[in-house]
Amino acid sequence: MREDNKIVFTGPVGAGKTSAISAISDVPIISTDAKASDMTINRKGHTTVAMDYGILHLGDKSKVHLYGTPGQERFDFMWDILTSGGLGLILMLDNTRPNPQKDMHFFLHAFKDYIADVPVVLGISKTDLNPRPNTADYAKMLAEVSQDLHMLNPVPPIFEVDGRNKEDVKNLVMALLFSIDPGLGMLP
Amino acid sequence: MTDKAQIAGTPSILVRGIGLDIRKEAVFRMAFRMNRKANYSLLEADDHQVPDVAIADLDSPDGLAEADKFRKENPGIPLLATTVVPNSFPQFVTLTKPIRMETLFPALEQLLRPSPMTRELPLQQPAEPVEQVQNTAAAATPAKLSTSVQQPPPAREKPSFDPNQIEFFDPEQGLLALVQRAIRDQIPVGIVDRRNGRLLWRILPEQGKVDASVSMEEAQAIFREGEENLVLRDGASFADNDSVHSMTVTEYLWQIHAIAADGRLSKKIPLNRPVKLRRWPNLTRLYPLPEALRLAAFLARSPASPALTIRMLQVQPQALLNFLAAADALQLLEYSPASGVASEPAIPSSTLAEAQRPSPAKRGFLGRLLAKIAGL
Repeated sequence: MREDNKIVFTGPVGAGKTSAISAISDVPIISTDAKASDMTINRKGHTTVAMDYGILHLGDKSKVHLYGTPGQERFDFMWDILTSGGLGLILMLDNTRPNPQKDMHFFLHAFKDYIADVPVVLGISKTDLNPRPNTADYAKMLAEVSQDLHMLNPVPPIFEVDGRNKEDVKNLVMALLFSIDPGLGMLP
Repeated sequence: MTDKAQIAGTPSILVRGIGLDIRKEAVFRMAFRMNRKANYSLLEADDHQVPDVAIADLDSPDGLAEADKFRKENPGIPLLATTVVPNSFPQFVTLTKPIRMETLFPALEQLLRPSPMTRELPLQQPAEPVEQVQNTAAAATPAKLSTSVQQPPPAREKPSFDPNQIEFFDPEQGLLALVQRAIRDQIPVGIVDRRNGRLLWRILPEQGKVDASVSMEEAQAIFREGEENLVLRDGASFADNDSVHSMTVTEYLWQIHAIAADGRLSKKIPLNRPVKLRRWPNLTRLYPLPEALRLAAFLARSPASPALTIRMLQVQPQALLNFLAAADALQLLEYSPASGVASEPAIPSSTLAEAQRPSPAKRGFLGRLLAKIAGL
């Protein structure tokens, strides 16, 4: 159980993953630069990968690891490592990108095995810069994009967020937890 | 920590879960909470109290091995095995998935019915118990279940809920109807308090926004003083000293319907028929309503009637009814408006029926994480 207490933040570059992790992490976020070395990477050439990492301490030595995937699509080999076990996936999409639907398709399919077992939450960033598509549009996109997916929560939360805003990030994470168990926090 | 329901004067019946993942545990907990006849309580994994009964999921990866082990170590404790293939496990008293309230509790009662002496007997003659369990389950009609579920709650610290006390409001009449029509027809209008001529809201549908001179709390107070005090008026202006803020039409509809509901159920929404959330409200950009995240998660997962939702989630009825009114205003709900008695499964059967991989996280841990996040 200890090693599986992970929440994975993913999405394209600039969607706000690093800011979101920073907003709730108990420790300053760690960005890991690592030299590529394994066979998978070598097939793609020598490169450098980066990963964001934060921690939520819960007392009694329990903690939740917050991982931010690299935004670059070519680094998807890492995601299997990040997502072996875990609590859920927070997919952050940048509304100013040219084709958010394509981004959604890519990241949900990249994590298709993972989201069959854990819930996903969608955070849409930069809606102040570009209000369309809105969350209703994203819900329609999701219906198209997820036709060949088996999602644990096929009706996921889709919220507008600013990764720098702690309240927004808290809502994303709480929505994720309630998606696991709506009864959490009920009166004993 | 155990999940103790505290039905007055009724001792807890401790239940050990075997091979249950966190979602199944959650559903069992909800089912136990809403059961009025007995005080079932699912033990946490680290709670080593001796259970009164065990429930095993034989279809989970380790369920069968763990169930065998449990029975060897605890021959006197009855075990109810759940599976989609009951004929494959003749050694167990089985309950066929999908599990329903109508089958679960009669089965548990059946297992617990023997005296303490008979409980010492090994449960290795399953043919008769299985048949009894299945017959008992079959005998429980949905109507009977519905009646039992709708009994007034016993004395415990749950939100009180009496279906007969539910009050209704009609969002298709009065001010709300006029607001909806103005938005639909793209007609700019103002809403004025006729007692003092004050402009409270200016609705500008073409711009997709509403200017407001009152807060949510002030608006609530004005509504409680009487909706008839509010009238639509063209050309009204805000006073110079009004502090005016803007919101989207969506935010306004969410807010004004929650205010107007004020703990009442929309006449459009049936109390005892399933309601499903078509998609989540954009809760980070809407006025925060109590329990909105939990309610959205629950109703997005599987349909449930308002009455059942209140019982299963233990939310205050007002919180649910305001949420439903607001979500319905944004056309996020699916429901059948037909009247009639409840016919839904008491446990979202799809949730139980799905074979999920065991989750590593435990409920207590998630509860601590929730508290941590909420307190940040």
